[in-house]
Amino acid sequence: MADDIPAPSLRDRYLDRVRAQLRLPDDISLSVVDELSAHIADSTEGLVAEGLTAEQAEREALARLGSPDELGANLRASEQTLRRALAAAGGGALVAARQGLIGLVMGYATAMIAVVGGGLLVTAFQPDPDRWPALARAGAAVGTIFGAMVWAVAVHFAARAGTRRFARTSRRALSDVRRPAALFAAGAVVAVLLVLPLVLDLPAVAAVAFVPVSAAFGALRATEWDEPRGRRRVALLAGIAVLGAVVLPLVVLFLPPVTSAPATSGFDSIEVGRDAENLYAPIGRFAADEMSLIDAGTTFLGDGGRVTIRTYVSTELDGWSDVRLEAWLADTDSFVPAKSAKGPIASAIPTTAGNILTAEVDVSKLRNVGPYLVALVGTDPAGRRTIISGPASREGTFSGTVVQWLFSPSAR
Amino acid sequence: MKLFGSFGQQLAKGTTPMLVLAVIGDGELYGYDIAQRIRERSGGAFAPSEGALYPALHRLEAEGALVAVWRDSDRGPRRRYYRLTDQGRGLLASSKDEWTSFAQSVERVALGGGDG
Repeated sequence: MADDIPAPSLRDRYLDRVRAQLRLPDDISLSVVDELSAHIADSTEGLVAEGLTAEQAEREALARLGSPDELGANLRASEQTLRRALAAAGGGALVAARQGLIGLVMGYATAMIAVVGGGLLVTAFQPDPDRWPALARAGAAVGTIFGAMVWAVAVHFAARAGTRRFARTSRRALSDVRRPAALFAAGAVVAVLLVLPLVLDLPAVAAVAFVPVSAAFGALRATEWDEPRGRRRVALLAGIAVLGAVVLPLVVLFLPPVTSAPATSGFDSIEVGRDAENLYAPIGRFAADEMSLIDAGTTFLGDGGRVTIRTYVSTELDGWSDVRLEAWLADTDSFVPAKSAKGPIASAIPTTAGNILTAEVDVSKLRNVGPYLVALVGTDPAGRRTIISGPASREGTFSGTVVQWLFSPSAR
Repeated sequence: MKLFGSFGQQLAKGTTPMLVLAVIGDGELYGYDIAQRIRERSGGAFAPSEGALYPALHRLEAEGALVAVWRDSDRGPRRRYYRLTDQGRGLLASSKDEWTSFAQSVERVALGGGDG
C-alpha cells in the first residue's frame, strides 16, 4: 500500500527543511510555509512561461530562494524580534497575573468543596465527634498547608497561561519555551517563598515545596490550544475536588488527633494542678505547702511560640535554687508531658524584682515542635525538684521562612 | 566586474527593506509580485535575492511598518498581501532621505563631484 503514497516532491522537501528551522508557533509556521509555497508556485509558473520545463522551473525557483536552512533561520530571526520579546514578557506577566487570580478563586473554591465533601464523608464513616476537634486543631501549620494547596492551583494556571502567551507573542515554538519558562516560574515562586514568613512544620514545608513544582508543571503543560474552558475546566476542578474529598477523610480518619489548649490557660490552673498532682510526676511534684508561693494575678502570654509569664510570689524564693520556666513536649492530653520527653525543649531563668517574677521561653525556632506545656520549676530548700506552677500548654509551631526552618535547630 | 558584482549584491541586500517599502507604497502587494515590481522598476538591473525578500518582509511586519493579510486568488494559491502602515510610510520617507544623502556623498567621493 506504500505505493499509494506519493513521494514528497522537491518543493515539499525544501519546505520541510525550512519548517524545521522556523521553530515558530504552529499556525505561524504554517502560514510562513504557505506563503513560500505560493511564491514557489508563482515563480515556477513564471519560469515555465519563459520556456523552462516544469521540473527545471521548480528547481530554478527553489534555487532563487537559496538554502532552505538559511531561509528558515533568517525568517525565524525576522519573526523573533526584541520588540516582540519585550511585548511577550509584559503580556505574559499580565496574563499570568490574571490567570493567577482566577486560579486563586478556583483554588479556594475547590479546596472548600474538598473540605465540605471530606467532612460529609468523615461524618458518614467516623461519627465519633471526639475526633472532629482534632481536625480543627490539627496544628497551626494547617493554614499554611491549606494556603499552599490553593497557591499551587493558582501558580499552575498562571504559569501555564503566561507561558502560552509569551510563546505566542514572542513567536517562539512552545517546545523551545516550556523548559525555560518552567525554570523561571519555579524560580520566581521559590524567591517569594524564601522571604515569606510562614507557620511551618514538616507537612507544611512539604506542601509549600509543592508550590514551585506545581508552577513548573503548569509551564511544562502549556499547549498551543486554548486553555481548558467550559466543561473541560469544570471537569478538571471536579477532579481536584473529588481527590481532595477522598484524601481529606483519609487524613482525618487515620492520623492521630492532636489537641492543644488555648495559649492563655496558664496559672489559673493551680486548683487543677492540685487535683492532678500526679500528672506532673515526670517533671516533679506539686507540694501543697508551696502553693503559698503563688499569688493571684499571674499573666501568661503566648505569641508565636514565645511564652511569657509574669507572676507575683508571696515571698521571694529564699532558699530555692535553679528556678526555671521550662517547656516540655506534651502528649495529646495537654497536661501530660510526652512519654518520650527526656527533658525540657526550652528553658529560661526568670528574673525577679521584689515579688514579681518574669520569665520567657521561646520555642518558635525549634523544628517539629508539637504540643507543649510550660511549667515553673525549681529546687526547693530541701533539695527536691518541684513544680512551682504549671503546667500550661499550647501548641508550638515554627514561624518563619522555609530557609530559617531548614537551618533551625531540631527539637530535642 | 567581480568587485562590482559583489558590491551590487551587498548593496541590493542592504537596500532590500527600502526597495520593498517603496514598491509596496504603490499599493497592496504579495511577495512574488514585490520581487517582480522591483525587477521591473530597476529595468531588470537588479532584483532582491528572493531568499532575503521574505525575511525582510517579516521583519518589517514585526517592526510595525507593514501589515499583512491573506487573500484568496482567482488564479493559483491564496496569497499574503502586504501594505504600508503609517509607521511604514514614515520609515520609507526617512529611508529615502538617508539614501539620497548617502548616494550624493558617494557620488562626490567616487566621481569627484564638487560641492557645486
